[in-house]
Amino acid sequence: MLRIEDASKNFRRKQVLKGVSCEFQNGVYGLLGPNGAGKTTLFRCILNLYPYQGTIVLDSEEGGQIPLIGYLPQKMGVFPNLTVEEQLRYFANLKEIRKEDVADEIDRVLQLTNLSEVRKVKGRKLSGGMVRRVGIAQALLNHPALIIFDEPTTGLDPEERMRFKNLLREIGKESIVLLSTHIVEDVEAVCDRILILKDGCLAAKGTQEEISHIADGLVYEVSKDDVLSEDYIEKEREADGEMHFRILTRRQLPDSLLQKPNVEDGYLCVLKEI
Amino acid sequence: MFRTQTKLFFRSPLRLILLAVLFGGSLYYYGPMFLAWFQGQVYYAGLGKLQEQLRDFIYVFLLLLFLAFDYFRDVPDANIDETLKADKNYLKQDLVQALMMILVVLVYAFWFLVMHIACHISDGTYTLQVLFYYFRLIGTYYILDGVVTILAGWLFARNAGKIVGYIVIILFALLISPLAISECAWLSWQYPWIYKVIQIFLIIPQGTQSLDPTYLQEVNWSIAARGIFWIGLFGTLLFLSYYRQEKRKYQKWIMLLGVICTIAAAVYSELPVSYYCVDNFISDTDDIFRYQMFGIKQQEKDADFKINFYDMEIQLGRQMKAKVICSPSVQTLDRYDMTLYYAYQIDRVTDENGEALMYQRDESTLTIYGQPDGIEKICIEYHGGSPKGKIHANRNDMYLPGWFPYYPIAGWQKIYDTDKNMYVDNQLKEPADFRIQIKTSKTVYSDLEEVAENRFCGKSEGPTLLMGFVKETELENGVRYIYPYASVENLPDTKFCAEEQKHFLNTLENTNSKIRLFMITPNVDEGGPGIYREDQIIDSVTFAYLNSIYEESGQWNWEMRNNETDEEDRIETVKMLYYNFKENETGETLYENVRNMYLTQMQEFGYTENDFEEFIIKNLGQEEWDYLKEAQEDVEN
Repeated sequence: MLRIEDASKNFRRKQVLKGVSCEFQNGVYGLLGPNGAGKTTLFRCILNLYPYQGTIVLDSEEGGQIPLIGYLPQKMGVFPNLTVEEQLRYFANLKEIRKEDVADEIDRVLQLTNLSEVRKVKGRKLSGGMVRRVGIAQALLNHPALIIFDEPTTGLDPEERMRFKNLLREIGKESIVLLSTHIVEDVEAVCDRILILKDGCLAAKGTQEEISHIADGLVYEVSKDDVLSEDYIEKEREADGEMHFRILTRRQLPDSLLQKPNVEDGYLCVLKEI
Repeated sequence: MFRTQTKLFFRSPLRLILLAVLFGGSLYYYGPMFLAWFQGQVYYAGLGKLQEQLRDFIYVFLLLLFLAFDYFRDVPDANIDETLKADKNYLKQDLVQALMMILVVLVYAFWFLVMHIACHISDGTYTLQVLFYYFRLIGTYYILDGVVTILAGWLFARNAGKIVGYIVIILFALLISPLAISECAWLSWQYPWIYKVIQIFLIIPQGTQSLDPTYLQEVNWSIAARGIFWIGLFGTLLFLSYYRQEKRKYQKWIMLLGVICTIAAAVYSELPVSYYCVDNFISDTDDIFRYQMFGIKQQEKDADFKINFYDMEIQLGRQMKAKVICSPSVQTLDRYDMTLYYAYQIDRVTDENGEALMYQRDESTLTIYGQPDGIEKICIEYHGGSPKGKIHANRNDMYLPGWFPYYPIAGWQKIYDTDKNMYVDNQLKEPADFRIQIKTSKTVYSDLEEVAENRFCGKSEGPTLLMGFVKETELENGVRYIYPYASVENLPDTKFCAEEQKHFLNTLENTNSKIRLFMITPNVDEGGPGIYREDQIIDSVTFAYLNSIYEESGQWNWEMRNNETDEEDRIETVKMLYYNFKENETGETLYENVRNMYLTQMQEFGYTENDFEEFIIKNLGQEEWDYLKEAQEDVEN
């Protein structure tokens, strides 16, 4: 279990994290928030890369031993002169995987990330997507208790994104997976619970349904003439030669126009304070 | 972990090039030797190779610095530093990188050791003392400086951008280079505080223009402490950079220990020390500057007494510490004017009863005030020594020539002769009795008779004390021969000097010479007189040189030879020197040097600066004058 109590972080005079508290059990957690909301800072505090105020504790289920953490930062490259397999061996050494288990463990993560075929290819010859997958693979080494992915799907093609989502579902069964992304779709597809960070505060948290319910009664689809300046236009689509707008609004409109809210609606309601 | 790091290290083309330059570069020194051995020729290499390699040490330092920097840049360049830092073992991975670099340093040091020991064995100049010296040399310069390069490369690679890092390491290498040190040293004449600051940068061999076979390149704890200072500084900063986010249990204590070690090393390295460092630029007491250029006044006064007996006890540490009991010939004087080299600090002056005597010290003069009921003995305790040049004494080596006031001598005497540009021969006018005890574990050699280990007794006009890579042997006719054995040209009975040695001994025999001691001393940069007594030759000369002097002048002392030459001879000398200059010097300095040489050589024959052109054209031809004029124009441009 990962427990965060009143975590705060200042950079000089600017407070980037403001008393964030939450608990995480095994499962996939999506961390949503605009740029500068404090997602990466929170991750770095969890990883002890930044000093912080408050308490962040990762308990081992077996007790005593400090559990392993896998981490994929927003930007991560590879050694240009080492092969994919050697890069993973480098990280395997770092994670103190037993010598006799290293080969099997590397095979496992190569398969999970669909990199088996390029295992002998040197880093400098890998595409951006492949480099990202090497990053994912190293984070999975040695079955960490906590895995943190910061914008993991950046650079992945649709097929790999789909594969990655399936992978997340699998690893979420035995680990705590924290995922930060801008892409709400990704979160909807895999995350059991969602946290929304805004201006360094934890603005909302809950299951997908709970986040969606934030927008209950606030989502409408209206024609162009019915949109007012106070409404937040979320999407627009064309149907029967007419433009339709999905809006978030506090106005009372006919029930016939009311839409079933989704995660993105809930997220935007929190973000735009509707 | 190490296997992966090895692959990482050796798969970089840049690092392979740097390694090739590092190891391949040493072929520049050893290549001719290999070639000679291969062709079955004798190649005397030991000292020359050492001298050349130490002179060029900055290139080794720079290459190691670049290697370390480039290697530790691999992680930030690959953009995986954040991933690594998230793992509790990331420091271990970095330590393996450091270990890899240490291996490179060790392999290079081992290569250096093997080649040089091979040279000494081949030359016949190898002894265990030489081997231990090389261990100390490698420890101080290769290992400590190697670790400095690793930590500096590591620190800058991980805490600065690539470009900034390159700039910083180049600046650091520049600061410790002999070039910067020499510039700073010139400035330190004007701003003395610079001298204190630059000392800490003296971590690579300095002043190896002419390695003296008696001492070789100086290696001591003061130099090592500078290396330890930089290791402490960079190590502490690295520790800080790794653990600034984390709070470890013993972090504060480790930091404190690092800071204490760094400060202690800095303080130790700045403590006064007297050691051999010739041709370097750290001097604040170089006597040629002191007396010649800065005109420090030297007082002279005849003594009303002489000293009949000296009982000296010398302790060797970083400097010399001496206790000298003098027995003056007159006990009732109001004042005893003496000379003792100014670099020795007086600790205490007492009489035979241990009662303190008043004294006054000014430059190299020492005046001790008498007691109403007279003084039988004067005990002077002092310490120090010249931090520059070859007249020095410390626990590793020592050269205290008999003509130098390293002990109190009667009267106020000049130390340095600014007309002759050399030290004054300050031997006693009449021999005194000496009893000398040197407290050191090494062997000291002297022209006095050794009565016990490092205890000497006898009458002398000034005893010479020598310690270093020195041996003593007895030549065929019973002449004591004390010589620096690291120099192949001084080894007795070797192919190199056997003939000259035989010639020398024959001359002694044929002339019924009373000479029973030939002691080869280091050559003093500022110029030092030799000691030529009826029964002793103590000077920085070889058999060959002595023979040539004797053949030329019928006596051994080169200072006494007849230097009269006629104008034609001198013109020939100028011509010879001109072609020598032309061969060795660039156009920019050629003109100035030739003109100065011409004036030095020809002024006594009435030639002036205005005659320079005419002289050159007449004696060397129009073509050479045109060549010189071209060089002069280079200077002006």
